[in-house]
Amino acid sequence: MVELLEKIDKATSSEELEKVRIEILGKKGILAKEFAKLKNLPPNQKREVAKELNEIKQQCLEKIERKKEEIKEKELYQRMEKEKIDISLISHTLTSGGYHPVIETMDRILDYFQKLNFAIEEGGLVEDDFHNFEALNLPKHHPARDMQDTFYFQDGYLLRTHTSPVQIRTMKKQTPPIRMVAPGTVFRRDFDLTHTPMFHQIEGLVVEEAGKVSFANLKAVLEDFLRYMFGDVEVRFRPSFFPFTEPSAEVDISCLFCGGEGCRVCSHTGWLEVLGCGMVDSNVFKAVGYENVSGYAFGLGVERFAMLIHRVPDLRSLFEADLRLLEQFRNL
Amino acid sequence: MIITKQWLNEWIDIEPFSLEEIEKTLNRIGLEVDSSKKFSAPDGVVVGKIENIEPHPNGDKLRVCSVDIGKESNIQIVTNDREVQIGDFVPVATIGTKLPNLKIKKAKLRGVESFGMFCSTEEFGMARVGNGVVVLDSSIGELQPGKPLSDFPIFNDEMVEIELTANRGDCLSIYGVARDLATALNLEIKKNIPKLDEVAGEIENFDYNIQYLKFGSIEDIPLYIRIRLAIVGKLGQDNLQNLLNYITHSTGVVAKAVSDETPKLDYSDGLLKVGNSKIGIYTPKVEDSSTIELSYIDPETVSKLVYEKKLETDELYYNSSRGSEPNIQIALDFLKSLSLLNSIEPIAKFTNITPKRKVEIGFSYISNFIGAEIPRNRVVDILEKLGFELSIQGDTLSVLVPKFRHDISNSQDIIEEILRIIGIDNIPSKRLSFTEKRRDNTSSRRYLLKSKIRNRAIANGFYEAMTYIFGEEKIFQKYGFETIENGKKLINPIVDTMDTLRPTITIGLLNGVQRNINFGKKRVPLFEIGKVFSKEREEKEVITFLFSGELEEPSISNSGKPREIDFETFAKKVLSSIGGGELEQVEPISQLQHPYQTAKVIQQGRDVGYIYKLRLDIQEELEIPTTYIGEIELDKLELYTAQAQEYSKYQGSIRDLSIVVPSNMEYRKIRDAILGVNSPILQEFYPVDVFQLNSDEVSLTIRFHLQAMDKTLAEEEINILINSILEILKEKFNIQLR
Repeated sequence: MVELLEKIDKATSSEELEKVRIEILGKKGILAKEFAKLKNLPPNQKREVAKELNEIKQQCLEKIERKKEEIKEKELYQRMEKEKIDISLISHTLTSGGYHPVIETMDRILDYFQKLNFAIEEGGLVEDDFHNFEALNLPKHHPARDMQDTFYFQDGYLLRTHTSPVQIRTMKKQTPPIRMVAPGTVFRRDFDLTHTPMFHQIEGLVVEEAGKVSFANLKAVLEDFLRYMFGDVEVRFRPSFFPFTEPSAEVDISCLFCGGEGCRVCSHTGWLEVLGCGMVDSNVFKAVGYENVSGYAFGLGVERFAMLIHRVPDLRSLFEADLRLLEQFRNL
Repeated sequence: MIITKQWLNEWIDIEPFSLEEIEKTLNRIGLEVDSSKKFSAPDGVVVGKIENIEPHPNGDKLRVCSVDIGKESNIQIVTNDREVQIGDFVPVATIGTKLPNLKIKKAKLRGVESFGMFCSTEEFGMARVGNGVVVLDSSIGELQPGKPLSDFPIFNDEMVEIELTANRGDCLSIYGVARDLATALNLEIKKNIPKLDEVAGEIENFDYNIQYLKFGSIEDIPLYIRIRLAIVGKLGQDNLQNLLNYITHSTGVVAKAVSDETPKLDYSDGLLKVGNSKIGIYTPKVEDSSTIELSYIDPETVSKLVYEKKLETDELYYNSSRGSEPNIQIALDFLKSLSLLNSIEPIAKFTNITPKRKVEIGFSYISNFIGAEIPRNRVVDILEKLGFELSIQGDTLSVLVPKFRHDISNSQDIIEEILRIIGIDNIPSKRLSFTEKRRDNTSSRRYLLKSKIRNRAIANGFYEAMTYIFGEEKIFQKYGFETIENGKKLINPIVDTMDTLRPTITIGLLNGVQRNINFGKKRVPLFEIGKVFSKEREEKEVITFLFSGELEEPSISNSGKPREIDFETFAKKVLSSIGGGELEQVEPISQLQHPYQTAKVIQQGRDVGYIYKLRLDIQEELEIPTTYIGEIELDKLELYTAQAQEYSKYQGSIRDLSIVVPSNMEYRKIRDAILGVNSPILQEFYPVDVFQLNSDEVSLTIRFHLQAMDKTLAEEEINILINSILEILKEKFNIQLR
C-alpha cells in the first residue's frame, strides 16, 4: 500500500504518472491482480480483503488525482519559466512624441477659461490698421504705436502686433453677451535673448449690458486664474496704461523662484509681471458700434508663462524644432 | 523718469517716508518702479580744506597738499589732480576709508608720504560730476573741515527710476510726481503754485503757453544742482543748458535756449512757430544765448503734426508730445527762486488757454463700475487733491480736468484716477454672474479638433514643433514654391533670411531635421500646426508631419539596428493622427515629392492633403536620411460626431483567396473590381500576402471577412460570393486562382 503511494509520488511528469496509473489501476495492473486473487479466498476473509483493496484503490485514485494537479501546475510553471525575460534590458520606454512647451502652456491657460465657458476665437495674422490699432483707441500718432515695432506690407497691411484685433472682429460679428479668449501668434520687430519676432498671446474679453461688469469682477477671475496656473501665489494689481482699457492694470504674482524675497529672476523686486488688463475703453466700444455695455479685457504673453512654468532659459530655442529641447517635454 | 528723495523733499515733505514706502506707493498708484538705489558717501570721507599746495620734488604730475580736515594739525596729501586750488573744499578719503573699489592706506608717492586721497563723486559710487576731484561749495550745506560728507543730504540720498506709461506726461517732473504722491500720502505741495487762467490767444485752435525771457548773466551752477543733474543723466558742460535742464526736470515746463531775436508768432499749416522754434517740436541749438523760451503746447496737436508731416524733432519733443506742464509760471517762479540769472526780463508771451474739459459722472456709476462702494467724500478728496475742480448736484459730479491731464477725457478716465489712488489691491474681488449660453461655437470646435489631432500625433510619436512663419524667399522659390507677390510683400523684414511669409511649413521642418541630424539624432519625427501664405497672401492653416531616419530607437528587440521609416508606417501614423482617411497614389505636384511615392489623402470624400517621400536628390542635398512628409489642410478636416451603426450578432467567416496577377498590375484595380460586387455580406477585404511567381506574375492573397446581419452564413452562400468575385476578376483581367 505504502509502496503504491510512493510509486505515485515518484512520478515527475504526466507521462510517468500515466504509466504508474496503468501499472497500479490498469486492467492488468497490480490492484487488478490482487482483486483476481479474491476469488480464492474464503468468504469471511473475502469481504474484508475486498474492503481493504477498495480502500487502497480509492486512496490511489485520490493520490493520482492530486499528483496530476501537482504535475500540471509544475509543468505550467516550467512553460512560463521558459518565457522569463530580463526587464532591465528594456530601454527607450516612450514611443510617444511630445508637446511643445509653449503650446502646452497655451493649452493649460485655455483649459481654465474653457471650463468657465469662454468661447475660443481665432483670427488672421495679416491685419489692417483699423483692427490692429485704430479700433483699439490707438490713433496713428499715438506714442504707443512705434513704427519700429510693427511689420508692414507694401499695401499697408501689417502682421498683427497683438491678439486684440480678434476682440474687435468678434464684437463686430457677434452681439453681447460675449465671453471669449483668443489664443494666437503675434509679431513685433524685435530679436534678442528676451525677444523673438514671433510669439504668442492669449487675450480675454467679456462684454455684458451696462452696469453688469465691474473691475472687481475682473480682479476675481484673474486672481483665480493665476492661482490655477501658479498655485498659492500672491497677486498684486498695479494701475497702468493701455490705450484700449480704462482703468488699466498690470498684474504681478509673488516671485515663483524666491517667494518674494528678491532674486535675479524678479530683478530683486519679489514680483513677476504676468498680465495686463482693464475695463474696455468706451472708445473701443464706440469703434465697434456697441452702446450701453460694460466689459473687461486682459492679455498675456504665453512664452512668459511657459518660461516661468518650464524654466526655458533662451526664448529663441523654442523656435528651432530641436529635439534636445523638445524631448524634455515628453511627459507633460 | 528719475526722482531723488531729497529733490522730492523740496516739493513735498517726503522725509519721514522710507524708500520702501515710497516705492510701494508709486507702484500702487500706477507709477511703476523700474529700479531704486540708495547712495551715501562712505564713512571716512570728510570735508577737507586745501591750505597749501607745493610741487612734488620727484614728479611733475604730482602735487603735495596740506589739508585741514578738522584735526589739530593739517594732513599731507599727494594728488595728481591739476585743478584743485588753495582754499578749495574737497572730499577727502582718510586713512582706513573703504571706497567701493579701493581701501585708503598711508602711502608713499615717489618718496613723499600721503595720508589720504581727494575724491571725485564717481570714486564713492555716485554719478560723475566734472572731470576729477569734486570741489565742494556751500550750496550743499555749511562746509566745515572734518565734517563727514554723508552728513550732507546731497551725499546721502535715494533715487527711484520710474517707468512712465505713455499717458502720464504730467509725471515727467519732480513736481508732477510730487503731486501724485501728495494725493496718495496726503501731503501738501510746499511751493506756492500759481493759477492757470483761461486766456484767448491769437490762434485759438489749440492750447499753448509760451514765454520769452532775457537775462544779463548767469552764475556758476551750484554743486547740488550739478549732482542732481548727473544722477538723472542730464549734466552737460554748458551752464545755461544745465540750468534749463534743471528747470524742466524740476517743474515739467519745457525750457530751451533760443537765439536772441525778437520773438514773433507765426502759424501756418497747423505749425506754431516763433523765430526758429517749431513750438514743442524742434528748436535749433544755440550757444551763448541770453534768451530763454518756456513753452507748452497741446501734446496731441504736436504728435499728430509730427506723425503726418514726418518732422524732425529735438530731445524735448518727448516731453511736449507726452504733455509738458502747461503752467509755465511755475517755471518762472522757480527760476527766480534759484537766483542764478541776473536781471531776468520777460520779453514776450503768447498764450491760448481754452476752458477746461468738463466730465460728468455719477457717484453711483463710479461704485458700480469699480464693483465696490466708494464713499463720496473719498471721491471728492482724491479728485481735488489731483487738481480737478468739482461741483456736485445730487448723484452727479461735474469734473473740470486740469490742463496738465490731457489724457483724461471721459468718465472711465476719472474712475481710473480714483481706483489707482485707492489701490486696486484694496478692492474686494467679486465673481461675475454671467448670462450663460452655449459657447462651443465653430471656432471653439475647430480649436478642439486641433487639440485632438495634436494629442493623436504625439501619441503616434511625433514631436510638436514651432518654427517661424517667416522664411527666405530665395529658398522657397528654389524649391518651386510661389511666394507673396510684388505689391503685398513685407516692407521691413527683421533679417534677410526672414524676408517673406512661408508658403509651406515643410522647409522650416526640413531645417529642423538638418539641425537635429547635425547634432547626432538618428530619427526626427516632427509635426507643426500653423499658417502658410499664398502668392496673394491669403492665409491657410495646415498641419505638416515629417519623419526622418530610423523608425524607432535602437534596442534589444531590433538588435540595435532599427529599420528606416517607410511609406506604410508613416502614412498610418499620419492617418491615425488626423482621424483616418484613404490614400490614392498620384503624380507629384511639388518639387519635393517623390515621383513614385506620393499619395493624395482623402477623408470623408474630401481631398485633404498629401503624403509623400522626399525626393532623393533633395534628401541628398540636405544630407538627411530617408524622409517622409505629410501636408494636411486643417480647414478640410472636420470634427464630426460619430453615430453608432447596427452590427451583426452572428458568427462571421474568413476566407483567403490566392490569385495570380501580372507583376505590373496595381492592386487598386482589383480592389475596385471586387467592390463592384457590392454584396451585403462582404464586410471587408484586404491584401495579406504577395510574392513573385515568375518574371511576369505574382501571387496575391486577399483576405475576406464575410458576415450577415440576420444569420450565420452557410458554406453555400459564402461559396456563391467567392465565386462571383472570381468570375469578375476573370472576366475583367483574366485573373485566376493560383
